[in-house]
Amino acid sequence: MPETASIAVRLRQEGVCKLDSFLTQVCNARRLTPEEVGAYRNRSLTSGWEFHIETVLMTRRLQLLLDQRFPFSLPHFFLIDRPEFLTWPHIEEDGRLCLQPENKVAKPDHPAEAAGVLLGQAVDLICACEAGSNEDDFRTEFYSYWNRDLEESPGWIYSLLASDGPCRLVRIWRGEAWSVVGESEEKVLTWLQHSYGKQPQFDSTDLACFLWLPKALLPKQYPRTAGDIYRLAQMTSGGKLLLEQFSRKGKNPFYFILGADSGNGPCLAGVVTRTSPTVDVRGKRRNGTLNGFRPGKIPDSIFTPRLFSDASSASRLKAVRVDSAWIHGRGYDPHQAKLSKKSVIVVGCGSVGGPIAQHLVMSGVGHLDLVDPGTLDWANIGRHPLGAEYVGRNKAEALAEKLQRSYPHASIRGFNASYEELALRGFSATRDADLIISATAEWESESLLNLQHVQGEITGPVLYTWTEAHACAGHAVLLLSSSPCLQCGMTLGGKARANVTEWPEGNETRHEPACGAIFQPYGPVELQAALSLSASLALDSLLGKVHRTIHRVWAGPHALLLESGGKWSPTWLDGHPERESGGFQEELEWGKDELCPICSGSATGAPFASESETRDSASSLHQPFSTM
Amino acid sequence: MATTISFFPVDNGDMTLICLGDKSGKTILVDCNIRAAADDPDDKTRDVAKDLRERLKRDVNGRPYVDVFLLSHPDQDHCRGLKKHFHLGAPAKYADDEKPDNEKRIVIGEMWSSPMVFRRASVEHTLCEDAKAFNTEAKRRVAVAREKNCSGVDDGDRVLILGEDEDGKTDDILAIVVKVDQDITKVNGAESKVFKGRLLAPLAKSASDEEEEEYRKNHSSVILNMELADDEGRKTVKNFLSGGDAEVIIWEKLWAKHKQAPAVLKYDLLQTPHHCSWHSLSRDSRSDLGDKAKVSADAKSALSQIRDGGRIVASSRAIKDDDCDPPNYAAKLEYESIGKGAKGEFLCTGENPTEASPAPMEFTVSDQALRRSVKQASIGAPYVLTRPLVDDIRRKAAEAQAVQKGGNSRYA
Repeated sequence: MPETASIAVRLRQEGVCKLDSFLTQVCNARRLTPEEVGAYRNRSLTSGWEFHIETVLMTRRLQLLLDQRFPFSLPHFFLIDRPEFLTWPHIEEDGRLCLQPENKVAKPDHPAEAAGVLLGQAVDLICACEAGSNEDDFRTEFYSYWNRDLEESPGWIYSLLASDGPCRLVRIWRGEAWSVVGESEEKVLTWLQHSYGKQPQFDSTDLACFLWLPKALLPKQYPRTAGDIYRLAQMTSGGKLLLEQFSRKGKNPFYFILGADSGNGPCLAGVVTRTSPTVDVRGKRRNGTLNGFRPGKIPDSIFTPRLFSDASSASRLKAVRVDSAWIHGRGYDPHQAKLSKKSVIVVGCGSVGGPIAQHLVMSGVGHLDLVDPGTLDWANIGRHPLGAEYVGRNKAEALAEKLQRSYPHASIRGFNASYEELALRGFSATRDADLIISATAEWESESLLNLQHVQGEITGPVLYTWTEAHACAGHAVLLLSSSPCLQCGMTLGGKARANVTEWPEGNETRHEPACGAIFQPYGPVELQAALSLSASLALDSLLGKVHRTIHRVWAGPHALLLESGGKWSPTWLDGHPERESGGFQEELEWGKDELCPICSGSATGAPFASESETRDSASSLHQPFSTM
Repeated sequence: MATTISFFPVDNGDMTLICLGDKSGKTILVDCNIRAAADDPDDKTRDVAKDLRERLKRDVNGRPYVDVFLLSHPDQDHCRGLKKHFHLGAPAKYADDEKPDNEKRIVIGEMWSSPMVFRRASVEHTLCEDAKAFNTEAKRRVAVAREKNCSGVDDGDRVLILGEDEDGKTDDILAIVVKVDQDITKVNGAESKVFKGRLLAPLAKSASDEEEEEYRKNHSSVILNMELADDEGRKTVKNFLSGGDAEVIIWEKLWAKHKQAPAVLKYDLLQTPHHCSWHSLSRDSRSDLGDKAKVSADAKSALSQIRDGGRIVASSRAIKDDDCDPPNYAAKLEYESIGKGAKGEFLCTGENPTEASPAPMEFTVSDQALRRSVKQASIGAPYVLTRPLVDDIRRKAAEAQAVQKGGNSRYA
């Protein structure tokens, strides 16, 4: 029995026939020869047609070609009769038209109709190019053009610069294949050390010149000589003077960063100019810029244009932004400027604190201190940002190292100690932190933190986060002031006075076959919602969106709760039957306990009273799960 | 159907068919050059006779016919194949009715001929057999016209004399004579709303022998500026200037005559005289002077009255940068510069669409323009996709919603 072609193959064969019929009968196209198709290198094109379109100026040949994914990819259009590359936007070196990038195949079995729609877009594009009405696209899509047609070994410049004016001198570390530029030597070298460790070559930087141009450059304006740079500098505010300074203080080769607003945000480009020495009649290589002047006597106004003249070549380089504003939101995140200056301490770098720390760094928090005395074990890596390569390392130090390398523009430290130990050593970072997050669920450190907060040693907000058994519920409590405090919602022994879930005896935890080895059984997926709860509250706090104490609760899906062997606590469901199904987040009050021994003012000065003095929750004024 | 002009790829020769867009759909063939190679089915040369037949109607007897055959001048490359492919003689003597259609000779409804052109040509060289046959047939038809006093002459017997003959030889048949600077408004016996041809040449016989010799040596030809409308509505009207092999002196004379009112030389479509020869633009010899040879300003002016977007077509083999003439590369550059000034286009029949496989080059008078097209009858597809066509294609294609616009609502 003959083997039938697969659906994909049949669609392709039928699609080619349909397209051929449309193109030859409606567009009078001729089929391209295999040699003509093969002339398009590195495109993996399989077949094509050529036809003619009439525009305002002339008749032009247009080719339509298919690639190997057809009909699951759209046909490609190539303009044959076209001007030189980079004269018109949206046309690649071999004539391929870059049509609207959001086009997608909706119906693979209608290739002729797809081709008809794209044909209209192609003609629209060509007519706009002829009219010159889309010349500004060279600016709004600057990188697509600047980064093409570079020299074979362009080198890269990684930029930590703020992408904005004014023109200024900056610092550059020059490597063989790439360089790093930043506002100061410290910032550049710190970034390098964060990325690659303390290497001996990361010891110094040179001057570079940043020119902020009035507009992004068109291809015909791309600098080809140092003279072009000189002329560009004259177009900027303060650029001429800056160039004179650069000519004196900088050294050959001279690195420039050109920046401008593209219309789609700022764009950067790198240029390096090289002044070649000339050879005099005696065969000595001389710096021709000094001709006619004794050393040190040539005026800047003469020296600078000689140094940056058309006799010196300029090579274009690709500039890649690695600054925090770009990495976190590509310049569009309005919170970035604020977050990059924030400092957060995360106490506890386990399965809750570790991911929260990672999320905060990824969100753009600029400074992070991680505190944890624990060692990463194999059993941890199933729900921790750190993997096998860090087993046996201290969690805080290892996580700090990993995050620092991944986000070299941030500043991250790890402390191999408990919070209490650090406090006893006089850990001063707590005074300046914009937020302290406690993810230990350990009463020893949390009660100390709480006491420091209530008594004014810590003045910023503190966020306490924990999960209930099997991660079926999660809590995040943000305390802004000394009252209410954490103790208000806890028993004197540090247990939460109001829980969302309830568990039969012995079902909340599991044991490893070792002394004291008790753990909470949950995986990374069940934990995600609780992590998101806490991390988002942390960001809200850092961004000034929170002006009062908040308690956010995540109640997991009821199915997970039942599967894990638990149930909703009666107090959680009381008066709220809609909470039965779970799977939602709710914001509650963290009420002040008038009898709180820590913050009520009636405290006896013995904050860590014994259990026998545990307050009767029913008689206190603390109302568990009070809604907002 | 709109008026079309088809240039057949006949190497260095002329063969152009105009199909009028009115209800009559009359056809005017200007010259022909059907080479033996083209008739040879084993030869790759384009079968232009077949191309021509596909565009012609059949009369009540099933005979293919052209309404008008205009011979611009009697050089062989303008009438080759006439005897083989066209019926010459009285209609009653047509002998091909029993033959297959592709073997039936083509009936000529009306011949447009210039005795002055014939006289001058015959002095310069011996006429080829096809030219002689044309002349003989033209004389037969003139005799019929005389016999019928230029009235009631039927299809197949009609003739129009372009330019008065010398010595008053055509004074008795002025009803069928078109004088120079007069308009032809009838096509094969009937007034036409879509065709009007201003006869610009042959120039009248000169009293000066020297000047007359110049006319002869400059390939005196019929020069006709044809005003073509799309159809009877006349929403689009374009001019097609055709000048046979007329060379530089002729064009200089025309410029001298018309430079104060050059509108008569205005065109949207020019067939380069003498297959893009340098000698239509210059008195200088390029073989003697090379690049120092200069164009005649007056001749160039006469040939430069192009309207915006106009086309200049060289009916020639492919034009190379060599010493050939015709066609001549330097002449091509001159015509290209004329076209560029009007945002127009220069084309060559020997390169359309490719040099290896040339095909008829079609134009259609429609939609306020002179547009490239292909013969509508067979495949109904335009040669060139115009903007309105593209928009129509796009509009219909969009209904199928085969292309999704906008980004995904789901993100990775």
